[in-house]
Amino acid sequence: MYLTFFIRGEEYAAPILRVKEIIEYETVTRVPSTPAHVRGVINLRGAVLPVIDLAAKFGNGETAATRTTCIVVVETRVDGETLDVGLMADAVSEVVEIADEQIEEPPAFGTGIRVDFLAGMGKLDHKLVLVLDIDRVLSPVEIQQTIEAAVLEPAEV
Amino acid sequence: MDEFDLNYEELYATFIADAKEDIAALEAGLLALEETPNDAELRRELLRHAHTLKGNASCVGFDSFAAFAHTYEAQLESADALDIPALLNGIDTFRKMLGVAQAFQPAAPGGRSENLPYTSTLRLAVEKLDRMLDLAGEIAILRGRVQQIISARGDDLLVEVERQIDQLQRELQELIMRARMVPVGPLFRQYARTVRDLASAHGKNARLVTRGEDVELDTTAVELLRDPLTHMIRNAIDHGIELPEVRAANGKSPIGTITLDARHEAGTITIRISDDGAGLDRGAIAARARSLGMDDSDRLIFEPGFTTSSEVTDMSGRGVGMDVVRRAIESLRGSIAIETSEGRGTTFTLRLPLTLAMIDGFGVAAGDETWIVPMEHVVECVELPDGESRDDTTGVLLLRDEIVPWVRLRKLFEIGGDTPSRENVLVVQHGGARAGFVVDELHGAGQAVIKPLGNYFEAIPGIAGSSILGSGRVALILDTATIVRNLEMRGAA
Repeated sequence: MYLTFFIRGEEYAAPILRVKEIIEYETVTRVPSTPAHVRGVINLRGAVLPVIDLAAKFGNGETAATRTTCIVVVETRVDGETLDVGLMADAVSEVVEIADEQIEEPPAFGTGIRVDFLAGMGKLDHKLVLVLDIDRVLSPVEIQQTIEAAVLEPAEV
Repeated sequence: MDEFDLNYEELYATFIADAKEDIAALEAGLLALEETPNDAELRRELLRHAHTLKGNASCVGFDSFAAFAHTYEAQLESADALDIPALLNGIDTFRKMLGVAQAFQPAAPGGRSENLPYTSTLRLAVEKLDRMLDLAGEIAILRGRVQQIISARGDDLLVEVERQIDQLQRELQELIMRARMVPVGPLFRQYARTVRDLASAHGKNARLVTRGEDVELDTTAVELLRDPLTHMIRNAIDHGIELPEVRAANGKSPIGTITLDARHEAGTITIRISDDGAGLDRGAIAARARSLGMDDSDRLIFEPGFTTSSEVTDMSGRGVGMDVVRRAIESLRGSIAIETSEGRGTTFTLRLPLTLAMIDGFGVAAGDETWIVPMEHVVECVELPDGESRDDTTGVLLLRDEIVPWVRLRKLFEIGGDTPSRENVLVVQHGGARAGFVVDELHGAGQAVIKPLGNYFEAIPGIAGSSILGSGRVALILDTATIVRNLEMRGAA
């Protein structure tokens, strides 16, 4: 089973077992020295949760929050540890069954995002969905590089 | 061992309880490593546990166990690919040795010998306490909303019930905070053996005196103090305490004394580590300072790589040590001071906050963002004088004849939006230097529960953590010392 959601008109899918909950978008606290796709952090019942803007990560600019914007809280594995991370989505679509044989290797180009961020392309009756590789797309390596770079090469003041 | 006036039985019981935990953690880690053989962090953690086992065993004089732990550590350290079955066999050996040790444990006065002294306490993972504190904080936030609804309705009965809930909730939060506190006694007592053995290895005599063992400290702080205290005690023996004949010639007792003293002082916990040795060698420090082109000061010993030793001993002289100690203490939001007197000894004074879970903070805001500045650094608040530029990231202002550089948080953190016509400056002080943080609004002082930013982000320079505001939003806690230091570096470049 997969949860599908829209980011910039494109429909993405995440394995439902990785989805912990979907919450309404609320104002996010920005975190300095992080790349633009780190929207910031929110309070989820007392825990501080990072929120990632995949549109910005895929080079489509920051997402503007609307009435249907929500945060999909997913579990990701970082260095053997399970962490909760929020994904900004323009709207949640549906929960669908996608059988393994309906998921194909993504083509080398044309999806608009890096191939290694995708687990595959799901072929549904009337549409294609991009199945995300959650651990890869949410890997904090790039974020940590930006933070380290901020230490080494301070911006002009 | 009687001369050390120590409760070895208690020390031994602590060792066995700790060793059981370390062995269990080693075992679990090895099993996890079978799944992810390349997890470097996990391997480091295993090494830490093996190292702790070794250290604790030698502390209680369980030499065969320490020796085995030493070879075990070496195995973990050397090979590229670990022989996990062999290491797991080692776990069984650890357990067997520990079983034997338990059987030969010194008899308790009541004749109860086969089990650890049993009290109605339990060991609890600190994470569970943290989660309880989280939830208590969340309840407080929700209560704030309930309060608003109730006051809008004006129902006296509800107001009264709410007031009682409020009181209970505060009490609960307080209790959870207090549950994190543990006495420093067990930590202090671990060093008795260290002092004796290290001293005799150097042909010296020394004993440890501990005071204020009942003083309680945040459990995380106790863990993080272990290594710094070891460093300082090693230094005291290596550099401080003189050889017995030198001591005798100077009219001192041939046995040196190292004192660990904990006490409450003015809202902080103070820990003093003193020795009655020779005091810091000022001549050597000054000479070394000159050769490094630094200013001469006792505080120099806290600089990275600073050593006065011409030779490296197994204990100290590598120039790592005091700067590590200083950083460890600063990471606990504490401070370290040194007092030394030639021929009479050296005292290090550590000042630590009562708890690591809460902070006295000052709230400031710019645009939509709110930040918390640790109160201990706040000196005063002033309005930014008219005529100061509204666009610059940094500037200076004259504050009663003193030139104070400032940074505008709105620009520094790229908040965007327009700078309001009136702004305020929060003046902080680090060391002797003052600096201003220009913000839109000052929200005033209050207590805040500290939360880590989580493992997703590595340490972000300038951010000490986060806290949840009454509104439910997250506010970042600023590490003003680092922000100021970074700005100074940029300014110097």
